[in-house]
Amino acid sequence: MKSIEQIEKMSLGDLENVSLDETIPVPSGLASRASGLIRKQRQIRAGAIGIAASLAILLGVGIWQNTHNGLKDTFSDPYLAYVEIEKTLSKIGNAVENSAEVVESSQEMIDRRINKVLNNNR
Amino acid sequence: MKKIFMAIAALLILGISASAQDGKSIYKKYSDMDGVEAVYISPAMFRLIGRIPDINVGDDKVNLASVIKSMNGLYILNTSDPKIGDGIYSTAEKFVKKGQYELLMEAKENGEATRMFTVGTDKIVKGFVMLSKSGEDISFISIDGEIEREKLEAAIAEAAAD
Repeated sequence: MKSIEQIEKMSLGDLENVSLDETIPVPSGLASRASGLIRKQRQIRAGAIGIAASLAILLGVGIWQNTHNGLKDTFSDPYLAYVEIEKTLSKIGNAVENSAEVVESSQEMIDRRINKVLNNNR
Repeated sequence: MKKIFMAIAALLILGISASAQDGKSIYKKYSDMDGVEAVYISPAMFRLIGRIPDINVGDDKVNLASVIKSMNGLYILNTSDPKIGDGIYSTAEKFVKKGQYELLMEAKENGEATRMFTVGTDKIVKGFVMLSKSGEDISFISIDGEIEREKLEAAIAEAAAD
């Protein structure tokens, strides 16, 4: 039997001749083991390609969504945009203020009722 | 192999459907409809506003510019169309629920209801939503960003006082 070093030094022609030599016994089950290994390698490669392709699609969709969100700014003038932001914050602020007034008037109403009940009991 | 593809496809679908539940997607869905008043301010516009030195708050106590700089998206929808309004309202409600927004404030008076929601931490607001309903008028405001809660609250208070 040849060592690995000897095999590595052989030319392609010699290797072909050896492979065609039918007098050399082939270990039993080698063919099925080899084809099993090749199949497994192919499956791993196909899986890796599939995962890479899926990741590329995911990345592509992400980039596309970020760059082409299909929305156009309402204002092209930053000053007008600023005024709109200020207006929006003011609207939010007014809503907060109104709710505070509701709480205050509810509190006053509760206080009046408590006083009324207390006065009636005196 | 098929399982891997199925899992990746499921992740892809989940990712797309998750991204469909935000202020931007609600805006996209309703902004072009007749009877809807829509305003969108992009992250690029926010950056531009932040760079303009003339825009400042002058005598105001709160530095609105720094609040604006930390915003990166404003979506506003207003409508008086009851059908569209109901759609906006229910979609926005689903969005705040799924987005794990917390109810900040709720006020109801004379048929007018306003609800405000935020998402983020105690110090940083990553999303703000205001939903208001007055008769048939529906208003949806969504702000995205990384805004300091304290500064946002101060800016709102200041804007209301003006």
